[in-house]
Amino acid sequence: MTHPPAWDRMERLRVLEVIGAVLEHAASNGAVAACLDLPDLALLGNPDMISSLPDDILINILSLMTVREAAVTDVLSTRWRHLWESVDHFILDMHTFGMQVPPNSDNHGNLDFWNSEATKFVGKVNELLSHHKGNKLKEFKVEFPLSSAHASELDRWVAFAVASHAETLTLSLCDEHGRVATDHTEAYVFPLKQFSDVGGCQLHVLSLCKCILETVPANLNGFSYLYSLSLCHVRMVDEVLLSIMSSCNALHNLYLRACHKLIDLRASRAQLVNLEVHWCQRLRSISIHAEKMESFSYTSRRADIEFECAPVLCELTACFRGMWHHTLALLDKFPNKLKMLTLPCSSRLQASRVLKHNGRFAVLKEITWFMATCDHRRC
Amino acid sequence: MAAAADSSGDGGTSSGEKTIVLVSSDNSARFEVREAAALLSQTVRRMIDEAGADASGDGITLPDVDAKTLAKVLEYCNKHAPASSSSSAAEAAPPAEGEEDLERFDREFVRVDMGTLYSLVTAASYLKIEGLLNLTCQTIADMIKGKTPEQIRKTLGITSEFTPEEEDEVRRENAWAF
Repeated sequence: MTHPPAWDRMERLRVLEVIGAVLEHAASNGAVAACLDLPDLALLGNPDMISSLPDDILINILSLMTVREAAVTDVLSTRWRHLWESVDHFILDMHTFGMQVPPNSDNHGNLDFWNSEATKFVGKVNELLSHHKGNKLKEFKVEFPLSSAHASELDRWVAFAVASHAETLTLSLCDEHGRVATDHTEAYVFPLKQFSDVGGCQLHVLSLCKCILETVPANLNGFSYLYSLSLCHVRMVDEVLLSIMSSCNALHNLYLRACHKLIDLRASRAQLVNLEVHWCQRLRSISIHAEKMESFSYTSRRADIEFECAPVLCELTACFRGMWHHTLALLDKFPNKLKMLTLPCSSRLQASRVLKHNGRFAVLKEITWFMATCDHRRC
Repeated sequence: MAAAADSSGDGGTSSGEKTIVLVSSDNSARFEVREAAALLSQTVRRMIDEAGADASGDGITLPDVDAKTLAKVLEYCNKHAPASSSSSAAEAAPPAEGEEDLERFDREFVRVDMGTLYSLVTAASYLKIEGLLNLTCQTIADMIKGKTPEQIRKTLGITSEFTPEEEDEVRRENAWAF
């Protein structure tokens, strides 16, 4: 128990009153023993000062917990009523609504279960959104296996995020174990048109998992402040990605994973600093034209990588799944001196072959070896 | 009663570093602190900018912060102030203490009664000291989250004016949360 801070006389009197009342109540109810929660006693006897803090501070406090924990405060008193509706983030997943997923369940074998869970989830999200005041949101995130079957709902949630000027938007349509809605249903087509001709869009970070991107509208100005773009298991062709990227003037980080329809990637962005490309199975070539790029990370079987213009690129992570000649070829092509290198470690022989390529290592500060268990199935 | 209290261990003026005098609302206490510590407050920073080069040794009066609270706030600022006192580096330079040490300090710092906590939150908000505002808000958040309404009311001393029917109605509205 923590030693209680110094109390003034009024506080001590009040506490004694309360203890007296508790013991009286317990005795009158035939209690044999009464247990007083002492740490809370240190806080008892104080008038309700926290409630007299101004709205913006209380909302700040409520934004430091999950939206569910915040909603509980609605019932505390009239002062607290509706405050939670202005919290600055929405993270909506199974945990938000206390939904449990049986660990061994699997979407394929249990279609009815997943459909009913999805309907439940969608209903709860809609209910929650109907309460929110819709003012400035810092983060809007949905993580739940959903598909085109719920397209109209998902469209409305995206519209809500856009209208609330969300800075971070994450649509991860698989659960934390990487399970997705059944393979047979079409994936959700992300509504790019909601980011076209839109004023005041402050989107900085966009993460999509298990969606489709197609038909890029003209004037995608909603992406003009986009700083980080992360696309995982997203079905899109080269032209779509190129078109989207051309609207992202502020793009700093690009992360692509398991985008299996990409064939030739052209990373040509003036502000691009970090590029990661993992497990895009059909990717044949990558050409990099980025004056500010500092780090490049790549995992796959093979690809032809051209460093057209990358004068400050100095960090490389490369995992060629055991094809060491690709690694060595890439090191040969690397345009500058490396500062940081991360490679999978299979054997001392391979490590020493790499280190013999010391032409690029004149300023090498850090070399990291990791166990090559590249899991390409997880989101 | 005037009291000059510089609680930074290394002595504000001994290294020739610039110091600033802050005065509590009732004029009862004056505190001389390192510039780097004072500038953790965006409000103080703005006041200095507005006062200009002729800001005298009279000190800066903070109309909304009483002496007891100001002393406590400055305890925080002195601990968290960056090592370098150059004002442009003040935001970018790391604090002089190690991270673990600071965490321990922060934990102890907020073990106070509700009245003090209330004063600290209000002062941190008025003075615009981001770290202190985050710390105090998080402390209060930790008293709320994961608890039932009854537990929260007990902890914060809230009296509910809802009738049982009204309370039921509110709970129904937020059924998904309970």
